[in-house]
Amino acid sequence: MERRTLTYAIVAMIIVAIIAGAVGYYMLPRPAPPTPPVGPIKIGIVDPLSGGAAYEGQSGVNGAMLAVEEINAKGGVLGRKLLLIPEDSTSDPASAAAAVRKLIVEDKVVCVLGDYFSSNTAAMLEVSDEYEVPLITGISTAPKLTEEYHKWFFRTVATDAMNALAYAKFMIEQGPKTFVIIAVDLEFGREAAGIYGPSLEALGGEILADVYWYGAEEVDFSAMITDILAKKPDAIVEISETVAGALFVKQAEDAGIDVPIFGIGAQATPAYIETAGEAAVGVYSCLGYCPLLDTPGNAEFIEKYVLRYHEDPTEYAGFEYSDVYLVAAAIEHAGSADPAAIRDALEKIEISTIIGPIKFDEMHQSYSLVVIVQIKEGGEITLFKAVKAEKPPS
Amino acid sequence: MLEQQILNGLMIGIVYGLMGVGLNIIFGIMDVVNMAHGEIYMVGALFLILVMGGIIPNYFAALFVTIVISFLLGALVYLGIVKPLVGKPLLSSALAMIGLSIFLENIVIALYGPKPVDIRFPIGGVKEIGGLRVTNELLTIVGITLVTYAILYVFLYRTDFGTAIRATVQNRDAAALVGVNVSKIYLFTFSLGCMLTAASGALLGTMYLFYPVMGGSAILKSFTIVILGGMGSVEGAVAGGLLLGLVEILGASYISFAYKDAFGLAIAIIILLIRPQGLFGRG
Repeated sequence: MERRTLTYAIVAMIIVAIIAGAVGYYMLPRPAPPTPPVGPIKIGIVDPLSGGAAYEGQSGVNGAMLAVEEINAKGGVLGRKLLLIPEDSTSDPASAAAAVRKLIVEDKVVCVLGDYFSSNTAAMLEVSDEYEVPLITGISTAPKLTEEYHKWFFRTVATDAMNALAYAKFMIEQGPKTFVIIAVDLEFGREAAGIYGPSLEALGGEILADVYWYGAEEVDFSAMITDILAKKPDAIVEISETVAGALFVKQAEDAGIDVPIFGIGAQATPAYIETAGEAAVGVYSCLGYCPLLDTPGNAEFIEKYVLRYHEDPTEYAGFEYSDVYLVAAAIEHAGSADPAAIRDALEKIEISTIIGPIKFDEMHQSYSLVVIVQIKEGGEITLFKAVKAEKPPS
Repeated sequence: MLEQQILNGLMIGIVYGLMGVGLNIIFGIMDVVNMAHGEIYMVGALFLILVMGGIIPNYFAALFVTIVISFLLGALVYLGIVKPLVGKPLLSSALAMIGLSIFLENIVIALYGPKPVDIRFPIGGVKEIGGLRVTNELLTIVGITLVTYAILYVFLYRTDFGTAIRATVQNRDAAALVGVNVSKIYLFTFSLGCMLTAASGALLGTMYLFYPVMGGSAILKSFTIVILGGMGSVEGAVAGGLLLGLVEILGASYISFAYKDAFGLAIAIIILLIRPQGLFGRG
């Protein structure tokens, strides 16, 4: 008898609970229908912020940060502020890819900028393709990145092949007949050495030895320099980052090498000029951007940059600054901060920036300027010439 | 050209040795592997820059002050981090020092910035002797290193305190039994090791450049030197440095410059196979 009462009580309680639950469910306030996002529009930037290229990477981020601040000061884009989220890629493609994944999945960025290293960018564009978020590089110059089509990847800087076309011609015009090439053993160096050697030979130059490769962290070039002295070239082609490149010219000068040095890479950066000191004088460099350009807005950019960071902007700063303006224009153009809408807008967009006009071809490659400069006494940079990049014959 | 390459290798090898001595003296006496070795090396170069930029513009005076400050830094690190971990398993102190290395590298990047700095050496120019070229900078730095070795030698072999240190290396307990104050020896040796490491960082940083992540390749080279010469041996570290300098330069010039770092590691593997205790190590 008692057991039956208990059973009834439990059944009654369960029924009451179900009814109460159902009533409660319908009585509770419904979650509001999704409203358009009002927070900032997040843009990721991945560059090496530690390791041997930390200086270059940081200068790129500095440029982008300045652009974001300027745009926000003018009221942002579509009434929303921009928020730049930097991530450190080191010189390691796996870290670079992980950084992009983190930015897209956790931070929900609508677009990613970077990287400094072509090898990193090659890893990053796989991720941006997978997650369908646009990736824009203004620094990586390895040609193969835009030789195959990637739906979500865009490049604002001319490739090494485009630069080589103009720069190799310039080298031969300066008079040297025989060359040696030294190159950093990274994707960037391998690609550039593979392009410049044949370009110079095609124009009648002679390459005296196999490419002298060196590790990215190398600091002592005495063995290489002794060998180069014995070969007596008319000129040296130096494909390098800041630290190693500056050390090479310093040690080469100490060893008595006084032939023209044609730099490819980070030669025209304040850090290179400061660290190489006197030895940097006379070194040529081929850039995509330089403070001396009279592109629209460049003078104002330099003034603000120097005020903010107390040094002249590097080309990486110039490009990543422009890339932020490109993204802002694409968002404005699309009327939406949706990654797919930004991508579609990037394909059609045509804007004028401090690095020159940006407009992408069918492979998402833009034809920026090829700027040839020389370092003078006191670290001054003089502009030799600037030409619009051309598509090299394939 | 071969003579020039051998000269280059020997000169740089002498300075490499100093890097190894700092690591080895600490390991030999207290069985602590200084995993922050590379960052102490980096901090040595930074101290030199700061001292030269601030109070003492004279390079040599600034180098001396740097060495004194580095000794004090070593003492601080010993008292703050290492002391409670001496005699504990090797891993405890190694992990603590890895922590210190990460801290030092990042605090320098945060406070001083990632930019490379060229430390100006006051004596420029090149000496040419019989067709061989050496910069006065390298010549002077090698000279300073050799003087440091000489002082270290006299200290270790001609003073009572040095004898006590060597006794502690041979047998810690026996040394304690005959009245050697082992904890004082530890404090002093750790500071001395840091001082030598920082001095090598200041000197090599002058030859090359200062940059906050310069410690990474330094610790790799130092371990190679220590493996070549033998763990715990001061003479071994000097010999290991010379050997590494030669092997790197000769391998780079006659085989491949790109694999310069690999030659040092390859010779370290060979030594480990045929004489695991290193050239001068205790069997």
